[in-house]
Amino acid sequence: MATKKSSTTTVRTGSKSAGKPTEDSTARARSAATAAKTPSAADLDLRDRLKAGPRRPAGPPLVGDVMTRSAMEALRNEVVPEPTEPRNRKGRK
Amino acid sequence: MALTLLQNLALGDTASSQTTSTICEPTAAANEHQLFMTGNWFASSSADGGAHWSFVNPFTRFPASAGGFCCDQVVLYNPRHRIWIWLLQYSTAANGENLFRLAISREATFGSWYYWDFTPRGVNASWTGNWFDYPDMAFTDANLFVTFNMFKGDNWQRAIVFRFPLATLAAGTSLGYRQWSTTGNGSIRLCRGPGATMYMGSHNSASQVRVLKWADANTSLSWNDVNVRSWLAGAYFAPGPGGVNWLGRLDSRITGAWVGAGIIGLMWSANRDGSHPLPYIRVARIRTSNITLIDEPDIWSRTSAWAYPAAAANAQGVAGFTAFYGGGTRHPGHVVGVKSATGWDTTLTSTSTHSPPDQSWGDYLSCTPHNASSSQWVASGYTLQGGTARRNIEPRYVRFRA
Repeated sequence: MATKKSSTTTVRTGSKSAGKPTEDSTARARSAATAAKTPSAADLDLRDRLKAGPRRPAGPPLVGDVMTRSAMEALRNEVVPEPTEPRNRKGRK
Repeated sequence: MALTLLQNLALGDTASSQTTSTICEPTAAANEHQLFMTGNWFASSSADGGAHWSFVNPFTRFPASAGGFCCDQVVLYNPRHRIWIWLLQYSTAANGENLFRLAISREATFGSWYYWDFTPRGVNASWTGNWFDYPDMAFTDANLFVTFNMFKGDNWQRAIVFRFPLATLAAGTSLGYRQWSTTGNGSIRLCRGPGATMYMGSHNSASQVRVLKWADANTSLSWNDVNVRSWLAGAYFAPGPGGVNWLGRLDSRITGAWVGAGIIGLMWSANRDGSHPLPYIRVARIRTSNITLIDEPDIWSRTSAWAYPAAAANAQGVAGFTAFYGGGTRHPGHVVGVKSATGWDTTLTSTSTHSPPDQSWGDYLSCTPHNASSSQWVASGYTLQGGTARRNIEPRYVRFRA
């Protein structure tokens, strides 16, 4: 499929410093473990339920992303590749 | 090109400590003997090639920061510098801001970590009340790249790309880095594969992708736009047994991206349309030489939906991927696959015995080249086994070759 290359846009990036890392020795991890807490099983159950549902939009709205009858019809006659069905095969456990 | 599963390992309760979620978001990486896997809300390591796994608690492994450990994680192994890279996303504190932690462990001292924290205001002083979400991570020859979306409350603000020199991450010295952000594109996905240039992808519209390019040698970043065949998103629906729609959370962001052998590959979940009766995986392959479209070998089925692809090129540039397959008569199953000359060779690694009760699944998987065996890939997956509770989620580590 021959397609024309679009024009290239170039932008500058910025620089920052994050400094030196924090060393996490075993002793430090042990003390940290007392400061940080693991949620209870009930808390995780709640997190699991709260996380369910549609995701928040993560970018500008997509132009053309409307499921209308005309859009569906327009895509009806697309030339598409053959379908892919996975094989049911197990490897070494 | 036949696909062979070399390892297909389920992580049991000991490995995950039953801290699993139906939105598991697993990632996995490996070197020759050391394996590491992350997911909601666990991490697990193996020092004997996967024979035994040890639970690593992401809530307590590091000091509490911001609102405490939240959720999204990504792990990678960099063979050039022999380091493990573990990214953890933290919850927002009372000021609405969170941080992400970039932790490094050297292969020789696997399990001993040092880390840097990154806050929104640490990157830009004006980004008050912002928080990072939805990380991606990949590397080139010289740099580690990390992308995030940024939100203020529930409102998307921008996408951001970080570039960290791998040599400094490995040395554990003072870390200078570069970053770039945009309000024009969201959910920027990083291409995984060998090379000295990072390619990235994001949607401009439902018929055009933006391919971003950042070479190791350059401090500037560039992009080109590529038209692709139109597709649809909207509310995804693929009812399985019992009528459960396991795609209630799915959206159209690019989740799979690879580069190799002169080809950039982008993959995302598209909704059903006049040519596809169920949601399916859109694939666009693009030449690196001039950023033009090669072809669009989509992955679809007449009987079940495909969703949540992740991808990587191996050292030979061949594309491998991991995804989910379900709906119709099937509960969600996990699949790995490779690009063949005529299409895709795919294999189910495991099929769920149930569908998720809250109609949610995802949000991402991982696929990465296996460094010790250059023709192989390592992929993460998961299924529900024996029930519908979040404890019935069974994470999966898969190593495969073409």
